[in-house]
Formats: sequence, structure tokens, C-alpha cells
Amino acid sequence: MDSVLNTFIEIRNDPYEWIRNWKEKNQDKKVVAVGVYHFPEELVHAAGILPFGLQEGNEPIVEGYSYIYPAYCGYSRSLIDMGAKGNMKIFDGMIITDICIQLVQAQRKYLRNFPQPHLYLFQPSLDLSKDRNKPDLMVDFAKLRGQIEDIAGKPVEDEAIRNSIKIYNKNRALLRKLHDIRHNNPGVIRARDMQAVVMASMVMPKEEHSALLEKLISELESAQPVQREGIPVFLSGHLCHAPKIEILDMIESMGGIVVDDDLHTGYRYYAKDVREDGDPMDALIDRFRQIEPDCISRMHPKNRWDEYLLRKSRESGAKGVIILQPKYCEHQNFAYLYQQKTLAEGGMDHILIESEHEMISLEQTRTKVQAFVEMIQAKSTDAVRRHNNVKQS
Amino acid sequence: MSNNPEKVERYHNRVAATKAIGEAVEAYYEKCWDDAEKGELTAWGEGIAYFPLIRAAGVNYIFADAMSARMGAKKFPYAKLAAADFGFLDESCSYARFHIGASRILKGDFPYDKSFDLRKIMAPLPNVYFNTDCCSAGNTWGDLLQRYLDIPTYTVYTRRVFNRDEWDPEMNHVTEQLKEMVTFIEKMTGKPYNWDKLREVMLILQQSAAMRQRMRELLKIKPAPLTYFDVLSTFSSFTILHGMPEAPKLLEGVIKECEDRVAKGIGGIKKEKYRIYWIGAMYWSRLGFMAEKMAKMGITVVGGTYDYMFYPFPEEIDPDKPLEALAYAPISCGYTTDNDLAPEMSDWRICKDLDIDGIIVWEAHTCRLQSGTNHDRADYISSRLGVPVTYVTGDFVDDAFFNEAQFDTRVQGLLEVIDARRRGK
Repeated sequence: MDSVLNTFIEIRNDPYEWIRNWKEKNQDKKVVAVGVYHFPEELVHAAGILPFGLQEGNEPIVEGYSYIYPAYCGYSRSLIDMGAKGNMKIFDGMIITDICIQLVQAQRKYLRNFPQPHLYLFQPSLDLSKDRNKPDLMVDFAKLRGQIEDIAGKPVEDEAIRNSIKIYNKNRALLRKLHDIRHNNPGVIRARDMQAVVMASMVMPKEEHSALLEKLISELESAQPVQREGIPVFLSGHLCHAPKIEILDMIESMGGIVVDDDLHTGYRYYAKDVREDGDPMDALIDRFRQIEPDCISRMHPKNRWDEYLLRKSRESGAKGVIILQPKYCEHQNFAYLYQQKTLAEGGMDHILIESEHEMISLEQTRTKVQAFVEMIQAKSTDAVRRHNNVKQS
Repeated sequence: MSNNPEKVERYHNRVAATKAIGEAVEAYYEKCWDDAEKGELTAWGEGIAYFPLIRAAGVNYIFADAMSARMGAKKFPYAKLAAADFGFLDESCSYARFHIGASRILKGDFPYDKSFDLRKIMAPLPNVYFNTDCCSAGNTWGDLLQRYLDIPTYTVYTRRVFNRDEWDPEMNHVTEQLKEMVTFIEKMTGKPYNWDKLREVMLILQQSAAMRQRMRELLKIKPAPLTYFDVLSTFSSFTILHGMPEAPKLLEGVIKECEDRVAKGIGGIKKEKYRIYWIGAMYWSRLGFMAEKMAKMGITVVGGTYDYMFYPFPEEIDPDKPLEALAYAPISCGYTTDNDLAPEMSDWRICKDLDIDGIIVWEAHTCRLQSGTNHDRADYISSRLGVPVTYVTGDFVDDAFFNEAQFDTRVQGLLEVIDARRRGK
């Protein structure tokens, strides 16, 4: 198990170093960096190109501040900083997805300041409530397909897309299986390792990832149940990049047991399959239009992340929700208004933890998490005591 | 001891005619309140809005961004508090926070000091919300209002355009959506859309844009008879009084006064020493304060990128092709297109005509749309004209992000660079 996990961990620890090494060994292969959220990676795969899911870099932001105001989220600042340092030249193209203004601006910084071939912005029409949404998306997705064909230097055939959809569906199914294993045997895999598995899926060739994942699943399925004392928690947030592993570790070390999540580097990435029959472009668009897991970046009256969060956290058996919010992420802050209200009204305790690119005030976060866990423990103890009192009387 | 208070020396010669615009705006808000009490429709909207389309339908339109500035200018603290109480963090878009906060107060969900008269501070609650999709915060803010107030919203989705090839298809895309928006408005009002009225509104907008272009010409004169702050204080003739017959007349009054000043050699500030270009938005809730501060330093702010928002050129407004003119506005705006295509950037030569000495970049802390483009814009112009730049931090309406000492130091630094360069010549 460790050797498989170590491959994933190696990628998680430095995805950019990993892809540099991979490129050296696969010089005939093209790699395109993509903003993963809402992005149909299958199209890139079908073109014979490796899609690399853009991750937040590890380095402190220095040069990037010459190009961007600091009140941008750590992910977009980090992308700009890596562009300023010239680190992204390894890619044969870069396609950032318009899920928020900060990422749109990051893409514009590349166009103007760090030019390299094939810099594109994928702009899927985000208003799902309109009749014109699907026709608009057909235009948006067709344009994207054309851009990918430009990078590949050849057409992307429907049959190739169908094949890629199958490969991606298989990987998603395996990830969901791992997700269920964690849910049924909490603690069998640490949150940081789960994240490594998902991040690696965004980076390495899907076929290789699925093969390794099958091995990992097989080993975990035969593992003994893990007896862990603690509070089951649901992790929510981080729509487009990974939360810091230091925070994940802290949650676990303070007695939190992660039983479910809706993170970008978690369930959100593998929740939805793409239909394998019919027109493949149509199927990719339909996947984009599915509301669950709800998020705030698309518009639809039924798109309610707060209600989804309450329902899913209850179903998972969590006793509390930990919302991980990157500083300056307006999407998440806007979503939080109804999340805090709905969770409170639904009797689900929650805590909001803000994080930054360069970790600050970890001790303050530790105190918050500790207080949250103790509060839930105290409630559970009270409930047991009340139950016993009732029985005795 | 004199009974008369000591007269405070003023450095900004404010164009007196701009006061009439402020009064007309206040009268408009009063009308909106009165109409709402009679059951007439109120619409709120944000961004580079398609407000003429709504005005022509006879629906009272409130430009949400301007309402935020109004709240800030009236020093009304409760909208911000109501937003924070709802779960907003301070770093999120201040316009959104002020609006959601205002909605909570208007709905009676958050207490406030009743000595404040809400009619003088905000606008009646909307029956509908229009959204221009100029940024993601705008979209989610619209979604939140829809849910919180249980009202319909209408979003016109605009793709960013980065090269000429993308321009025409996107014009068609937005124009088609505007036709659908007309159908939406017809359902909302229960009346057929008044296309003749739209033509009239666009004609008035065209006349107003011509006045604004004349102001740009006046700013090239030395000393400039008005400042950029005077120009900005006329903006409500576009954002609030658009399409109303009094708008171009009020602007004409401003121009006449400026032309009189030119004839008499009177400047927009007491003594013009520096001519500065302003990139980014503005500290809307403290416009007079900023105008005076600049004037006291001997700075005439002679122009800025914000002057190119909201239908800046008369030749781009064809009353016979209103939907095309409306579609052009957001697509051509520098916040949604690339610098080379944006009028304020491709028209950077205006900075040469204005004979600027330097650039101030206003970083609006809570606006990722605007602060995200500022660096490139400043670089674009300064590299072509060789003028120095300074960056200052603030916000549109949230005072928490403005530090006066830091502002003064950075601007003084800019002036010293300009002085040093002049000595070196």
C-alpha cells in the first residue's frame, strides 16, 4: 500500500516537479495545463494530450506581486507568480476556466505578461436557468474543442472522446469506491492521503492512475477496520484547489475523523460521470449542467450548496461540518451566508476556517478546531447523560 | 470674536453646475420611493448595465453601485454591519455587502438608528434585479438577492473577448440576449415594449455622451477648467438620470461654466502644478474629500479610465440600432476585453494630449474585477509615455481600506519623482 500511496504523495508534494520529470521521459507527448473545475478533461485526453490539473504552487509569492493586487486568492496569485517566474513554459498550452473573476484575471496576466503558445480561457455559460444555456454551451464547448485541436495539430474525433469518457468514468468510479471505503471505515486513509490520491488523478495519466488505484483499493478492502475515537466531520469548501495538508492534519490530530467531503480535491472531482452513449459533446455538456454537487459558481434557483451540504453531512453521519475557505474567495464567502444559516437551522454544528497561501496563524486555527471538537464532544456527552437520566428515572 | 465662522480655504474650484446634477439625483430617488409606494416597479441592477432598456419600459431603475456610494457618502454604517451579521467577510465585494445589508435593513431584518431617513440613504426594495455579468461577484450577488428577496433576476451573460475575431459573434450573442430581455421585461410590466421610447432614451444618451466628450477636450486645456472629480460627479447623469431629458441639459450647464472659466483663465483647482491620470475606480463615498486633497497638493486629475465606462462615445450610440449599441458597451469595456481592444487603452494617446506628468492607480481592495487590470493598464500607458506611477489602496465605499497617511506618502513620493525629473530636464 505504501509504495502506491507514495507515488500519489510524491505528486501531491510537488506536482510541477513531477510533470517536469514526466515530460523529460515522454518528450514526444504534449501536456496542457487546465483549470480543472468545470473543465472537460476528456477532450484533452481524446486529443492524445495529457491534461495537467493546475495546482497551487508551493513557493512563496514574490514576483507575482508585480502583476497583481494582493487581495486575490492564494491560488490565482500562485498561478500568476509561477507565470512571472517562467515556471509554466513547460506546458504546451494552458486553458484556465472562467469560474470566477480572479481566475479570469490570472489568465489575462498570462496573455499580456507571460505570453506562450496556446493560452486560452474556457468560458462556459454559467447561467443554467436559461433556455439558451445549452445552445450557448454547445458553442463554448465547440470552441474549446477547436482550441484543443489547434494544440494537438489534428482533429479530435468523436470516437476518441467516447473512449476518453469511458477511461475517465472508470477512474471516477474507482475514486468513489475509495470514498466509500473511507466512509465505511473512517481512519483507514488519512485526509492528507485521500487528497494525494485525488490530486494525482488530476495530474498523471488516467490509465496509470486507475491501475495504481485498483491496487490501493484492493489493499484497503482487506485492511482491518480501524478503531478510532473522535468526532465524525464533513469537510466542505475549496472549490478549485487543494486545502493545506497542515490543516487537514490538524483536524485529525484534534480528534476530527473525516467521513465525507465536497472538496475540489475530493468528492466534487469524481461525483459525476459522463453519459457513455449518444453524442459525446452533448454528454460532456449535460454533465456540466448537472447541479449536484451544488456550487455557487453556476446560476440556477435550485443550485443551493447550503441545502446540499446539510443533507450530505447528515447522510454521512457527521456530527459537524468544517468549512475550509481560502482567504479572498468571494464565491465561498457568498455561499457561506446561507450555509451558516441552513446548517444552524438544521442543527448541524459548523466552523469556518480561513486559510492563506502562506500559512499564517496556525495556532489560532488549532484553537478554533480544538474548541469545535470539544464543543461537539460535550454535546454528545450531555446527550448520553440525558439519555441515561431518562432511563434511570 | 467674530460671529462668522472662519472661512475654510478651498483648493478645488468645484464646478458649481454639478450641484444641480446632485439635486436631480436626489429628486429621482424621491420619485422612486413615491412610485414604489404607489405600487410601481423598481429594478436594481449592477455592472455596465443595460439600463436604457429598462428606463424605456417605464420601470424605475436603481444603479446598485451608485446606491452603495450614496450609503457611504451619507455615512450610514448599518448596511455594512447588516452584511457582516449575515456572514460576509470584509474582504468580499463592498458593493455586494452594502446591497445585501441594505436589503436586510429595508426588509426589517436588521436594526438601525431610526434617526437616519432611509429615503435619503438608499432606494426602495426591488421587484426585479438585472445583472450584467461583468464579474463573478456580480453574478452571485444577484443570485443572493433573488433568494433573499424572492424576486426574479435577469442576467445577460457576456463572454470575454480577447481578439477581433471574437468580437462580432459576441455582439450577436449579447444582442440576442437583449431581445430575450425585452420579452422578460414585457412579461414583467404586462405591456408591449416601447421601442419608440428606447430610441428616444438612446438619443438622449447620445447627447449626454457628446457633452462628456466635450469635457474630455476641456481637460486638455492648461490650466484645466475642471477636474476629473467634477467629471465623475456628473456620472449620475448616465448611471441614474440616463435617458431623462434633463440629463444633457444639466451637462450643458457644466460645460458652459467650464467654457466661461477658460475665457477667464480660471482653473479647476487653485494652482495647477501637476497633471495626473487616474487608473481604476474611485473612492466614491468621499469624492469631494479626494478632490480637495488632490487640489491642495497642486494636482489636477485630468482624466481616468473610469471615464470610459457607461457609453462614453456618442458615435457608438446609434438610436436606430439601440440593441447593438447596448451590446457594444460591455463588450468594449476594458474590464471585459483585452487592453488593446478597450477604448480607454487603445485611446491611451489621450494621455499624451492631456500632457500628464504621472499616474495614480487606485486599487479598490474588494474589487477583483478592477484591481486585477490596473497593473497592466498602468504599465501600458507609462511605458508608452515614460511617466511615473504610484499605487494607492482604498475601496469604492468601504472606509476600512483607506489609509490617509499611506495615501499621502505615496502621492507625495510620486510628486517628488515628477519634480526630480523636471529639474533634470
